[in-house]
Amino acid sequence: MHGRPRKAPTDEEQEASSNKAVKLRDLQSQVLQFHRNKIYTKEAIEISAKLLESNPEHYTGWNYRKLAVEHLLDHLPENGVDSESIQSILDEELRLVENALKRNFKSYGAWHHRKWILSKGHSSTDRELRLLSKFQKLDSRNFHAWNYRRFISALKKIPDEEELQYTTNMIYDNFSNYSAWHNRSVLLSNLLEKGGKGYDDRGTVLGEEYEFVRNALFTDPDDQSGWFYHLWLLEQTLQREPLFLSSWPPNGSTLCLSIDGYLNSQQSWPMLHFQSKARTFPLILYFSEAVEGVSSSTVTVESEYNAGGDLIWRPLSPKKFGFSQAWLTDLKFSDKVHSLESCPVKITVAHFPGIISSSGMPCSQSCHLSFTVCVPANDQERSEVQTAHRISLEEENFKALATQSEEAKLVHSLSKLEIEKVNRPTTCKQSLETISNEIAHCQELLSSTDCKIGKLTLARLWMARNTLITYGSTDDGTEVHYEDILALYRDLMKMDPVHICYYEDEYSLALWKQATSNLVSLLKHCYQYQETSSSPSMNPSLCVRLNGLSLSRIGSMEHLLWVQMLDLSHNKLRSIEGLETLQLLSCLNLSNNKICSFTALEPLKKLKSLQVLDISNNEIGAHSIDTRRYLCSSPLNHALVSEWHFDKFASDDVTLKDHWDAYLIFDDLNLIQLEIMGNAIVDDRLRSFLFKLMPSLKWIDGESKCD
Amino acid sequence: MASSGNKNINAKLVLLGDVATGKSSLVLRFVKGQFVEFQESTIGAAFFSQTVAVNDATVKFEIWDTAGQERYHSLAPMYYRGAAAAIIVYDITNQASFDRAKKWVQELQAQGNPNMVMALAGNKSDLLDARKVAAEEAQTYAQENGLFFMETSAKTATNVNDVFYEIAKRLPRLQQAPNPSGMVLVDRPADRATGASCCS
Amino acid sequence: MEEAESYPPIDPSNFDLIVIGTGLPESIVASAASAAGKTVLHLDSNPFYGSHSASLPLNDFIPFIQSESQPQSRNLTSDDYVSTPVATRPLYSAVETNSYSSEPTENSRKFNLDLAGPRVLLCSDSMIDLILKTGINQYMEFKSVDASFISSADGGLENVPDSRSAIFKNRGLSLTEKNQLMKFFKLVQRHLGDDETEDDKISDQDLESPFVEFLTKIGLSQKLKSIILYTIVLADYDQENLEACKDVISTKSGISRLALYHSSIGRFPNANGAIIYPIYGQGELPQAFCRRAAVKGCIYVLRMPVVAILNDKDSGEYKGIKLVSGQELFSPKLIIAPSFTIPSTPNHDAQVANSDDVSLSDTKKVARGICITKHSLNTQVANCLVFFPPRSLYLEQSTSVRVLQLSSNVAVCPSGMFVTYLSAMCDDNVQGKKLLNAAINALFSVPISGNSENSGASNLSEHAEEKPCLLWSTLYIQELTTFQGGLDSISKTPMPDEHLHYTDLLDATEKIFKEIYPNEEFFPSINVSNDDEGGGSELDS
Repeated sequence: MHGRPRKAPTDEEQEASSNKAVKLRDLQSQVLQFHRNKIYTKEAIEISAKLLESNPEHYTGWNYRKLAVEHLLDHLPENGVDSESIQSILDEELRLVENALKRNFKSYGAWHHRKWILSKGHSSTDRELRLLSKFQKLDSRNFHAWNYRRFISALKKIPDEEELQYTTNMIYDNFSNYSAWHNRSVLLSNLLEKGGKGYDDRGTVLGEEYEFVRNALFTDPDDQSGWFYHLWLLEQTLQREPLFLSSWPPNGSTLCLSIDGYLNSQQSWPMLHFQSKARTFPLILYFSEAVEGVSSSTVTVESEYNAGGDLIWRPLSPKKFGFSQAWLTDLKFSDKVHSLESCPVKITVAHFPGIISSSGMPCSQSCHLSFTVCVPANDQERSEVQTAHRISLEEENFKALATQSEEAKLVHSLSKLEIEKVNRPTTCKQSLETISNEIAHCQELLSSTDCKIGKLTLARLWMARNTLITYGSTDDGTEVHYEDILALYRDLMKMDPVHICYYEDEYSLALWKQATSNLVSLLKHCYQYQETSSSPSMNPSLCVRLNGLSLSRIGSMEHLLWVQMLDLSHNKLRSIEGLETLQLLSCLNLSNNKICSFTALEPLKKLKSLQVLDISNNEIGAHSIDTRRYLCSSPLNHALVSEWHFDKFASDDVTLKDHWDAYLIFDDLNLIQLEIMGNAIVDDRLRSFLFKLMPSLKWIDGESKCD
Repeated sequence: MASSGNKNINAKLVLLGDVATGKSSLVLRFVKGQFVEFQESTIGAAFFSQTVAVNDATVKFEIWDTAGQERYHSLAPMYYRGAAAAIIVYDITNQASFDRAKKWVQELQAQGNPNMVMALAGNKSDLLDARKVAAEEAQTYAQENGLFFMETSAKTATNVNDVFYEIAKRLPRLQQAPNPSGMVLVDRPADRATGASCCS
Repeated sequence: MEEAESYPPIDPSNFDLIVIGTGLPESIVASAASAAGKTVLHLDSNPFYGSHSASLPLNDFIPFIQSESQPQSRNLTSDDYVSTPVATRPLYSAVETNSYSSEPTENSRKFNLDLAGPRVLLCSDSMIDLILKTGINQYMEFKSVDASFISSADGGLENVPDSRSAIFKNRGLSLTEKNQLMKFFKLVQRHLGDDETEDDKISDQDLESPFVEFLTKIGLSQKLKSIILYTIVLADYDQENLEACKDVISTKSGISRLALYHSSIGRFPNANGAIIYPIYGQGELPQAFCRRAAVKGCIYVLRMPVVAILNDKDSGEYKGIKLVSGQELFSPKLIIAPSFTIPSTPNHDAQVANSDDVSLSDTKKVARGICITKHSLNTQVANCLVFFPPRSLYLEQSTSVRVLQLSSNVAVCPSGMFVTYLSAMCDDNVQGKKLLNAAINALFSVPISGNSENSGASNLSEHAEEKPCLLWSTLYIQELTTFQGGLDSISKTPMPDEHLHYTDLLDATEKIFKEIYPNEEFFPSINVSNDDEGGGSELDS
């Protein structure tokens, strides 16, 4: 039982329990022997009954019994095989299960055994239902009983509507019952899917459910079971198809593909520059949620000069295999492209069905995007080696952008803040109405009750509403001010410090959206970076600065795919999942965050363009045992092992064993400049290891290799 | 333990009869196997229960004693309510008690339920010398009125158990749900932690 | 059975206590005295138990409330004592009966009508505790009252949201009201909880203030206040009108009543709500206590009127009683039923003697009514309570009208019929009748007088969907009396009071017992299972 204080057992209790243990061990070894030797005599079976009645958790005991039952059934005398004798054997098993359940109502083994017996088809399902009613009177929340109920209902083919009524009655009795609400959600999913009479209008059915659960929420806002059901209802309301949101290169741009990057003139719309010795550039597609099935059969790329062959699309995500919000492929342009010739490229996303979200919704609307690729004149490999300069990232080198400047316009176009509504499927008006309705009720409740889960729900509702409006083609409603959402999360952090990490993450997501989904606010975060000490011919770079915002996680990259320089310093980042999408990133500042292990930097492994990385003043190595070290892919993961190159190290080099996690991360990177001071783990050994690992690396913490 | 087909029956049984016919002695003998000579008027025992097993059923008797209220014809209707069986007792050495017994039978037939099993018990059968009521007379009366008759002696235990067994045999096997039925209040210590919280 | 049969004389003739009248208070005292080892003689002039707390068949009901007896003149004289004749005075008045159909009277014997209805028991009541303590729970069976209703503004009946699940299910409250009400219930729970911090306690100042003010202070809507005051806390008088209210309920009292209500819910596993009713009527209670008394040796004699009180010739002290049979019986103490009048005896102080000469303005009255119908007030329930708070029937309505409907499933009427009890506190007969008639008209459809039976029948089928049609009804006013003790050795028990519950009556009864036996415990705790439980093995049912 939960919530009861433990008391130290008395001496008598201890003695009694050790006696019990002795008896139990004895029984157990006997049963195991019978099992091994396949002994199924009456006495053996009785002993197994004794064991299971006192210890229903003994799995092998149940298995033994199943075998014994099979044995008995097989060995029934020829003329004695009738339903009655089968029945009595099975009834005996049922009786045993009942006794075992009296002992431990929640024994998986006992319940499973019962299911096994019932599946044989000879027992009365009516009796089972009566038994279930009895059990559920004693404890209406036992999930085993509910699970079993679902099993019996399926066997007995009780219509879902009837079962739904049963949950209604249970809830009327006492609405603080997760299992009843949960069962309701299972049944409703089925009913809505089948779409039978009375369940064909999803909106109406959900509306009634919202009304039903609202009574629970208002009557007792502190009772969580109603809120969980409400959350499920929201998920049903918000269910929509995944949308294709943005890409790089952006729609309508002209990409100048050059071998030599030096000739980069300042980027201005629509001219973008990309340097690649091999004349390949990445094509990134970004969706509204994680999807799978992006492949050359679902996405077509048409262009004259594509160096043939099917394209391989890779998901850009460290997590869920196969599902990702961002997908990448490399487009290679052959040498045959003459300078200044423009080559249009047309992409059709979801040309054929096959792109599906993780909740099973297909991306059915196909979208087009097109851009042009050209090659500059005199494009050849430079013979001189460029001297790279160390970037100092000093504050004085940043200059804010003027709103009407060229750069501002560039940002505007790059970030594609004008969403083409043509391509968007209509937002279900009903969904928006439902969400607005729920918002109103939630606010009503919060006006009289300070309830943390209510606040959380309101924040989620507001975010959902914004999403619906942003991605819908209807212009109803204005977006909710993100400030209100942020205020709610700050409240929650104070009210409910136990879950502060969760709230910080949600806060970060909302803040990120606020910063990046609106041109005005995005421009506030865009800066020109120019080294004062560098030569004037070095063009200023465009840097997005999201520093000092208490961010604990990375948000949506929808409008930031083009970013080359990103400043995330002075935040609270524990993880940088999401950064892997920024394929163009060459300079990243993560200093003064909360990163506590190298493995947290795993997303960086996909950033082939990264040259400058600042992870100084984090917490790497601060804890001798950092459990989050193991949250990332394990070094034993097959996918990684094949990528290990040990040739740079002697086989008995101790430092490799010590710095395996640094190895895993930095091996793939071609950094030129790295700042890592201010982390506990940093010492000279590590520095020399890193120099060894990355031949391109010139400076660590301002000190060059040669020092 | 319980073989299939064995029914459990609960039956309320009331005793009727004049004062000093030996009603309480009968019950005492049946329930406790005791007999107390010169037992004072019943004080202190209003309820007995005893179970008998007959062939196809196990009958639990809830035996109500009159608590002396019959002395001045002041038995309350509560006494008769829901009674499945009754034993009307008279003293074979006392003619008046037999006459009174007949009146009790009439009373029962007016108040009780039509399916009631009734037994006429001529008690103190050990006092043969002092007999005033002929067994045949009582037998005839019983037959005419739908009762069964036995002469008993609480002192010697003659026929005491038999009366109850006979009643048990005659009780209807299909126990109608008592109409109307309600609940009997039972005092439980504050034990209302059903549905105790599990990860609330 | 027999009438005026010649009983054997009562033996012995000396008792520790003689009790006249088998009403509920008298029965409880007789039972307590017997439990304390006293010899008790308990008499009643009626052929049934219960007196003013009895449940009677229909045709016996009106005659009883209209009966009064004159002092007898025969058999009065006594050789050794001053013999003072006793009589009963009517405590009921303004009896008005209407019969619209012969069906009820034809089935008279199937009715068990409470004289002092409506009355119910809360599962955590002190009466229930006493029933359990004394073991008389074994003699009785109970049924839940399925629902409570309050009259709503539009004339309909709304369920009373008295518990968490009832609030959840309720269709009449707004969402905010549900939230407020539940919060209030939790507030009370926290206040009464043992291990809560000071912050959770309601201030002493608030506790002393009127409950209605506290409820307003914490922001409950008018509707919610009404529900709490009149259907859960069971206030009689209009609490909003504080000057005129004769019984202002304090917050402290209100909260403890609320707690009592809530602790009643779920006290017994088979009881659905907080309220239960004994099968066969409230008259079972006196029978049960009497039986228990009998088990402890109390002697019972029904159909035995007492004609005179015997006083000592010299001291004038009470000595005993004289029965209609002429027999004289003696005891040091006497308890008499409320309807008895004992004219003042010469040797007594005028003050002490006849406290029946109470000034009329102090007399409190309760209007009672009974209606018999063939349809339930609400098709979903068989047994239910209905409350009409002050001002809900008409503007000047100053007291709450309580209504209890019972069905045949508690064996108070024939199958297919329903008995409805009504009561309301009143100052005089006119006001009382007005209150009850207003409620009756709100609930029932009254056949036009003059077309009794025919219209009754046709009305029944037409109005089946609407208001139930009356078959029979009666209204009467009952006087409330208080317990009077200290009249030497004679104590008089009170009439059934105006409440729905027995708590006050039980308190008064216990007080009587303590006065006459200050050194005895009121039902000492014994093993609840009866002393001589049989030795047979018990089977699981």
